[in-house]
Amino acid sequence: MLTRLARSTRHMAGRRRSSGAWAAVAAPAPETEVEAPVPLETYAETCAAARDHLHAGHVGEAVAAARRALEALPRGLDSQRLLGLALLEAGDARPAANAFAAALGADPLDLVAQVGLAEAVERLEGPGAAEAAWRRAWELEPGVASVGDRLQAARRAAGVLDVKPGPPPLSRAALTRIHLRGRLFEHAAVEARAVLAKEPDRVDARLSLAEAYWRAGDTQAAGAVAAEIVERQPECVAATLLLAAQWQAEGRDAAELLSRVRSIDPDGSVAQRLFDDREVPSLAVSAPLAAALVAPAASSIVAPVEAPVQPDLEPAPEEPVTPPADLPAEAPLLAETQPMAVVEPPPREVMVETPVAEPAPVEPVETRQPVQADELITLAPPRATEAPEPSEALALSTAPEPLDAPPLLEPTAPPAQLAAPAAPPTAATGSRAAGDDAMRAGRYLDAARAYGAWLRGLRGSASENPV
Amino acid sequence: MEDQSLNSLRRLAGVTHAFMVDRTRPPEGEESAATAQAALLGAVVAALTQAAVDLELGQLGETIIEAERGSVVAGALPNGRAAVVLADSKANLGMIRMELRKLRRQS
Repeated sequence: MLTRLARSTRHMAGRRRSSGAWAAVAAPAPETEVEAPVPLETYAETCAAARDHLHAGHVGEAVAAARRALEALPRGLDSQRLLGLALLEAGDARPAANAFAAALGADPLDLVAQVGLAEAVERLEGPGAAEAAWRRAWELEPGVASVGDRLQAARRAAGVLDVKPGPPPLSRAALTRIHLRGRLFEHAAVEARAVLAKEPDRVDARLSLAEAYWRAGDTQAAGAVAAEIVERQPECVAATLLLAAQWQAEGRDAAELLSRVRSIDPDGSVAQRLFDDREVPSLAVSAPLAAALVAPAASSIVAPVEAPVQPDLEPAPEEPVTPPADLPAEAPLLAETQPMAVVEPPPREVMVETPVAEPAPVEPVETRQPVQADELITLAPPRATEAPEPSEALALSTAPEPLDAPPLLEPTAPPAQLAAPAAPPTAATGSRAAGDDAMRAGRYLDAARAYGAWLRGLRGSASENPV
Repeated sequence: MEDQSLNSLRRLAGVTHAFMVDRTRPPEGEESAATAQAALLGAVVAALTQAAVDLELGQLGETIIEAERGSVVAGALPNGRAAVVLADSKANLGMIRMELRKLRRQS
């Protein structure tokens, strides 16, 4: 399965369109180079040789080639992953686990390395002990059936009692990745923050949060989250790239960060996955390279990673919206946030969900005493602002206008009698009739106001004439 | 029949009222606070349904309004109907949502 996964991910990477800019960035920039130029050809050729040996079943040669690649580039992401695969094939599970762990340090979202680590742990300590690793793999790419099966088997081995047939339940971390694939970036950020509130050390969730911010156009927040990742895990390629992009936007020199990226991922596979076809930020400081980074005018985000996902798990909209390539910083899609701190939504909010496919086995929240907003699996976008006023409480959280503003729905009727705070019983009856009329006319907001007045009128009469 | 189908919701701790509302027409019934509540909630759900469509989000699935002293949980049902629950602040919204989904599957 590992070899198949490795092959499929490489295939997917090949299918992703790229502006080609990253290749220019990845090339050594003599003017700003901090470290010695990376022996890119040697490294790439040796990695290719290791891959070929692995596919041919020549495990010993594959291990040797991967080790040679590591000599050329000691922190190389591809070489660590290949070494892990080769060692696992050779039956050396412990060093293989170490190699996969090193690869995950550079790319916490690497499915092949995570599956390899789970496999290695399972061989070393049994399936029960590998449950956490398999769960992490499932959360990286929810919907991969083979990973789901292994996770279910690991759960059974670990003594989990409520293992049901079918795919494993979706956790918030899995929902984060699903939302990212579906381009629901605000929702992904909400889920990622919920994960981090409980597990603040999860680098994959923090990186997903940074990616959600980045793809939503909030580069500043993405850079801030990435900076925290880099502080803890300096070899994380994606976070370093996001931080470098932010530094470039601020006019700071990112040469050192880029040099670090090149020393880990010289072929730019992570950058291609991260930036897709969007305009690659000006990550090179030299004029020729900066000129080479000009993206095509029609550049846009390409379709998300085409992982073999079960369709019923996807909450993506029917017609994926393609955000503009260069979202203005003045109007970020996400609400104002404090990227370093986990911002919980306020307790009072309106959440509107589009119907998610029913079989999605989201684990229900069983204990909400009292209701905690971060426990609710929801598709609501983040509400990092203060709790709304009562008049706003009925507004859609995604709607730009409050409920009582006319543009959203039909024009409002003159609200003179509808806004009366405590109408007498006769007025209450009139309010009901007005509400019925508005309801029939499809003016639902007017109907709600009228019925509200009716209810207030009834309560007023009840308080005046208590039964 | 409809009233019976809401009994599972009404049995949940913290649920104060459960209504079956029609999003397409005014409510019928006597002049009472319960009828007015159902009418108001039906209009709100209808407005949110319309808003979801206008926002190109598709058909409304579920809506939760969390307020200071309680919550409103609404789940859309076929044929323009919706089950709406009024709950106090101690109610288990997860259980309410589960029951609503069960109701939707049975409808």
